[in-house]
Amino acid sequence: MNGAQILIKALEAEGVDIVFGYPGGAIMPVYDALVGTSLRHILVRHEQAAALAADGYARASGKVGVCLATSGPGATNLITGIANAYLDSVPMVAITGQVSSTLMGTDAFQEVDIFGISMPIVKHNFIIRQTSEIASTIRAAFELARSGRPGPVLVDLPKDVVSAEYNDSVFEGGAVKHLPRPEARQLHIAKDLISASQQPLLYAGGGVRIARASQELRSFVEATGIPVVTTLQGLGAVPGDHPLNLGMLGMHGSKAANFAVQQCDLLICVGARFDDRVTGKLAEFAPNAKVIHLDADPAEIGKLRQVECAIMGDIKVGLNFLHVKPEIDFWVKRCLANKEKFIWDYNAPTEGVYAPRFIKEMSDKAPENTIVACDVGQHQMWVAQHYSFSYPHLHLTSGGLGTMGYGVPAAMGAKMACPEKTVVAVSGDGSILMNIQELATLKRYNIPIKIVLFDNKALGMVRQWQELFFAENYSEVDLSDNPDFVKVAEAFSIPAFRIERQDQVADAIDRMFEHEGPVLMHVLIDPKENVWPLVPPGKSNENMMEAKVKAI
Amino acid sequence: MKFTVSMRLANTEGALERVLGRLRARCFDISSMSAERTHDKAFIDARLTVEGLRAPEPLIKQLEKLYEVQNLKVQYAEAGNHGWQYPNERQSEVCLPL
Repeated sequence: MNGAQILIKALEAEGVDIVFGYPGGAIMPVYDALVGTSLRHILVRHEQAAALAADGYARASGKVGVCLATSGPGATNLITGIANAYLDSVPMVAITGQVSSTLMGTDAFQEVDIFGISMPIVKHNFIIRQTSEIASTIRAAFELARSGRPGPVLVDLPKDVVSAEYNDSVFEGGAVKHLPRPEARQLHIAKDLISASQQPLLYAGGGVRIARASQELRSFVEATGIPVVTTLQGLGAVPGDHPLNLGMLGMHGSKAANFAVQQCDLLICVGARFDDRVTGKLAEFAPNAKVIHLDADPAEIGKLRQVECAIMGDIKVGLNFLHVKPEIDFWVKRCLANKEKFIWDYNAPTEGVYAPRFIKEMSDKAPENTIVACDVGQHQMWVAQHYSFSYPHLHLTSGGLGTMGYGVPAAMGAKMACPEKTVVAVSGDGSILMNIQELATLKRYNIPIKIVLFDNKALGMVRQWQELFFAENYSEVDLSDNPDFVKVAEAFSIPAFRIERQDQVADAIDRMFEHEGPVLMHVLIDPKENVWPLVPPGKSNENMMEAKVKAI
Repeated sequence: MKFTVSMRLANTEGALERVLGRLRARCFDISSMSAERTHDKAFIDARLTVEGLRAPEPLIKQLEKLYEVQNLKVQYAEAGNHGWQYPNERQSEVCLPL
């Protein structure tokens, strides 16, 4: 058995069924061994999409995503996708080919030090120096990727190592280190803090998705009656239409959520990390609140905000223990009154498509358990604000890194992971061109994702900031010479159609969901429309800007 | 704030580089360091004196997370609370959004 065959066997032992990748010189022995095995290889058309698809696969399924690339440019093209997984704590194993050991360090053809390059953006990485170590290293890589706070692990494989023979490998997959139970003393402190609080608030983040703790969180909310705000990654931790769900907090959060945060006296942070897009001016974030922080990663506790009580380890255990009912009727009433007062207004004085309303309609019409993958920009925030998610793993979005081009590959990966679910990719005219080549992959494997492409003929989010904070000095945001996206899609043999008026929206959404196979809907929207409300940079969350008049 | 971190690392490829990289990425300067491989070549014993404007505690936790770090001890040059709060206004400015 040669090294490449050992690698494939080790991947099979880990339960890997799908690998996203792109072949090349140094990884050829692995591609040779791939033929005729149980692994399904999806040939993407750019390695970045392999990493992003593996990310989408992992988020949707909860399993480890795997991507494969050759040395040099293949490996460097993975980098953005690996960083994306790192910042959003997504379990991934990236396998890269490398030039032969004897050539390493000689500036050989297609040689880069991917081990060094990837070091700051991986949970851990390995170079395998001996064929005998392949099986055990792959096992360690998967264990690391999926244990504790998940993350990407890169394995660099020199060509001679995967070509050499070794017959004594042991294949044991599925290793995982379980999280410790939280400390009893801290749990009791938390219980007392909750009982004594008058204005408590739950602040739920992506950790709820990662821990698959939605049910525990919901039971906690039902038992305590505490209102909930969620981060971008936490959307769906409680259902979007839950009465106590005040919506997303932070820069583009709802007013009800941000006001609640600023007024609360106890903030129960579950699997979130006080990111700058959430807190605004950190020193003025939740100024009156004591903090209980539940997290799997001890390094997140106290990183940006002093806590009264730290519950490290398994958040499910923590949440299950904390069922106490504080006396908070007055506070809940106030939160719900705010929620009612600042409810979204979908009436726009325009015949054109109003994107927030489009997304609301799509949310209402979407089949149950539809997965929505987003690109990055205004449309991403509109989806976060106006789409009602019932579980966090149904919302795939590049939160930490903000990777334009994430949507289509992630949707592709999610559809491969969950073929029974409807998968929609919401994209923008800027983002889609960053990974447009993946339409070829969709066609080749007939991956039936639905692409909604909002086109405002601009890099909308940057344009919005230039309008508001750079004195309308529009610099390099005009995309009015966009290609004809319907023709582009059709050139890839993906059916496509265009809408430009509000009265076309309902039929178009039905048509999209009824269509079998991949389809692209090109939606022209008002270039002047902005994302509201908005916390300006460096300001606290009370200072939310709003539209003076809606763009027409 | 100045402090000294003594740690034992597994002697795997890139172990020391990972520690140094993390110190730099989290905005700390190294004022002196020494590192020595143990006799059996299995470990590296490293001792780094580090300076920075930020609180040490989050950095220490980041170092503890590294796969190679077997154990870690910190000695602070001065008494006080070493991490749970920002020592001055300037620290919170560091974390402002764009």
